[in-house]
Amino acid sequence: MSISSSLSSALSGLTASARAAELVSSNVANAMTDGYVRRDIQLVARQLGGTGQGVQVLGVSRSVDLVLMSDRRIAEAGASDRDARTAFLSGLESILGTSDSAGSLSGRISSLDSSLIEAASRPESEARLTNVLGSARALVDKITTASDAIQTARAGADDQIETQVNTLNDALSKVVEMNIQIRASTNSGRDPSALMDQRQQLIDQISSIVPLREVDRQYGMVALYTTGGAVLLDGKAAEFGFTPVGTVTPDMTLASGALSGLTMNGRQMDTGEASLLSGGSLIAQFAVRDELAPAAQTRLDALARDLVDRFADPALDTTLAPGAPGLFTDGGAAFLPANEVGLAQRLTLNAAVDPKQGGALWRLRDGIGATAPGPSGNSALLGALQTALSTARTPASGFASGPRSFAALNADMLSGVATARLSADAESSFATARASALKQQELTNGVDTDAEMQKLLLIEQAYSANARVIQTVDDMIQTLLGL
Amino acid sequence: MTISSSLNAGVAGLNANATRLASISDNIANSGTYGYKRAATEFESMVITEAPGAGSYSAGGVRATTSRLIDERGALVGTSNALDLAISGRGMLPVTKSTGLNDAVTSSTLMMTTTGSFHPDAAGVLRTQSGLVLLGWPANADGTIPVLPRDTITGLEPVVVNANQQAGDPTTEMRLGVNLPATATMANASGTPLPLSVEYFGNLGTSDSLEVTFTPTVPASGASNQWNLVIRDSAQAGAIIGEYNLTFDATRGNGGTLASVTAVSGGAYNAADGSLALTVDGGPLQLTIGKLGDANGLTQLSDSFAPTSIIKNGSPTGNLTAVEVDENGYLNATYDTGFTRRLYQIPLVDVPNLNGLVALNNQTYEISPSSGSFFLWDAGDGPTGSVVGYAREGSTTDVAGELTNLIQTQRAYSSNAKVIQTVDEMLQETTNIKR
Repeated sequence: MSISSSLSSALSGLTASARAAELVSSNVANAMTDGYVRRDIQLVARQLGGTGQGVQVLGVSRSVDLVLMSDRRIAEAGASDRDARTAFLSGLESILGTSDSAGSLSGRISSLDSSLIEAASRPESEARLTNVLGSARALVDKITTASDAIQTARAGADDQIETQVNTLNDALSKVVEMNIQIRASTNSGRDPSALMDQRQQLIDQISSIVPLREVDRQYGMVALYTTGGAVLLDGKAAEFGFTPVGTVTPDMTLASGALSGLTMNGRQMDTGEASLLSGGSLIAQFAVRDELAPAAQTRLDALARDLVDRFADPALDTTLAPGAPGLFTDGGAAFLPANEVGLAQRLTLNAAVDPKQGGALWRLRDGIGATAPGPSGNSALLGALQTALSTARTPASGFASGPRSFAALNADMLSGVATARLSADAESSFATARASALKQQELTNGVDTDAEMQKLLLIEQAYSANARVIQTVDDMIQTLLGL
Repeated sequence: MTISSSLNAGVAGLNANATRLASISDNIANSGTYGYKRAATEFESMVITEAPGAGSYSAGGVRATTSRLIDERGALVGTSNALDLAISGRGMLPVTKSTGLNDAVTSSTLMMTTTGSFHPDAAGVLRTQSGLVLLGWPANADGTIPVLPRDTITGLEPVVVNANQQAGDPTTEMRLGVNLPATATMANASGTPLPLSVEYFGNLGTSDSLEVTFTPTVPASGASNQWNLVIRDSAQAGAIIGEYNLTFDATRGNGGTLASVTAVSGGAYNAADGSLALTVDGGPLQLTIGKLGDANGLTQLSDSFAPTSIIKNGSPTGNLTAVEVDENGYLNATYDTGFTRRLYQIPLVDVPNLNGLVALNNQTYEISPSSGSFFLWDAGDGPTGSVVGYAREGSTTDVAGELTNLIQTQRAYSSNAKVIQTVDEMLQETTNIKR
């Protein structure tokens, strides 16, 4: 009977309107929620045996712009990659200090220079000799502190890698679980939208660690690949392995096996720029640990070597026995070229000139190997020491060849660090701007409360209209019974 | 005598209208019963005076015959239960009484209904609240339906669905759509092998993987465009199950597509469909890498390694989540891992004369000599319609029509009563002649 089918059509209309209102309320409630994707109801005319039978709720669609989301994720990965590099370089720059500040490396070199000139003018003054000793010690401190800081940064990067590898493994295994739940939801006719939102947040968490591409699989599941092509998750999740070390010293490298590389499913992965995983913060930390910091350490070691060599010349100080250490030593002993790695960290003042270590100040004036004080007015050695510091000399390693004074060599190193930092800064601000522009664009696709309110009005109208149909059918039946 | 024949005719009229009233009241009472078929009462006149032009007329009266209009079809009404079944068109569902469930199904126990709301009981048997059990032909393990005679009910069994049933679905086909970086085969490239791990499902629902390694051939100068493809099976402790040398085309028209595939070990490359016949632990697995010159399989372009288009069949072991009957009468089980398996086929019963069926309780019908013999059709074949899930067939009663008939019947009943009264008065007149 057609009257009863009108009733069931109107009832299905009521159900659909109620479901639509539920989705609008959820959209509006989550207007401020990060990672929430606007939902829309999908309606279809119900057909039973070839005749129309009202309306049917087919499902809920999430309006997500996959292309934009994938671009935003890759941009965020790029930004975090640049940020990690910039953070290291600007840290290094601030440790070395710029030439205009007193405590900087350059400032300490010039104060050693001026204290030597002052001491040479009055070689009998104990105060001026003490000043020379203090300046030399300050310079040594600065170089060893910088070297320590570089190794701490490497150890920090090593820690970061461990944390990120753990996050990556955790998030991937959770995404696998979510995939299974979403598949079960989809196949048993439940709405998986909330699970999909959660999964999206999980993937966002790891997308800054490795730049990834999300590919749809059947039943609402996703597969994750890095932009380089490594399979992070396709059904099963990839298992990443990394062994952190507690302390990092300059001679520990990836190549020597003292530092751990990265394994994926037990297979050793390349961690350089050509890595399948490059473009995110994970490989950036490897770059800090294995490239940027060792490069800075090499230059600092070369600088220290130049300093040691300048003062270890027997022609400069005739009291020095051949092979004996000069004013600056490699941990108290003479420097051997084979031990250059990590020299900056081991740099010390010769104990013979330090009263605290049983030495005597007058050895600065009379020679490090002198057995007894000479004439107190002799300024020849102090003058020669000052000349040794400022004379143009070709560095033995680490720098471009060409004779330079020690201060100029240091300026070379500083400008190298500053240039690298500036270019990293520029790249970083570009990557950040790109990521935030894409994020902004993605947010504009989110919940628009005005549009939702307008939708709510339509839903209300549809609901009343369906209720009116039911009322009219009731009236018709009443009329029939009144016959 | 004519006058007494009028009295008899009046009484017959009362009887006939009372019968009609009974059928109307039954129809209205069942106007909300799913699957109810309207009963119709027809009047037939009886004739006593057959000779035309005879001087007198004897009233023969009326006789009522009631029939059930089984071939009328009610409108389908949507519901929310997947196993609410109705038929859009001719044909009926085969059912039997749950009391005779343990007996063999015979022709005498076969009943038919046009709609039913089935739910699994404690033993997983699909039955209605009224105790009707759905019958069907069980499918083989691979989902095919065996060939069974269609004019007897041998082979029909009660449909049983176990809710905790698990099933596996092994992977037998896989398609690799992978782009290899062309720059990796140029001189001075690092020659690092590119790894790829693809999950597949074994015969017992276990998750295993094919470990695929692409190693570029780095020449001294120029570009080799050659790769070595090695496939290992995790289920066989990483044993190599296939090794192939791939050469890619560098010409303008077909740049980047496969130019040749040479098998070093393992199954041969089939150039006709672009597949490798691998044998994994559980049996054969067809791995499609693309035909020669086909841009949809393995390609070698630009500098990116993009293994993004990997398609495979099979799914892990799953739990039953839904049972649905499709329009062809196949009862399919859906598992939460996404694969569906055909469990039964529900045939549709059809007889030549539907209105000749014997109507039983609970809107069921039985074969009778006048209905003709039955035939089991695949739903949608021959004269039969399709099976519709999530729907019930409404009653064929039209309340407005029945109420109209009710008014007519009431008037006719009163008129017949008036005839009896009039005859009574006339007989009184006759009796009054003699005082």
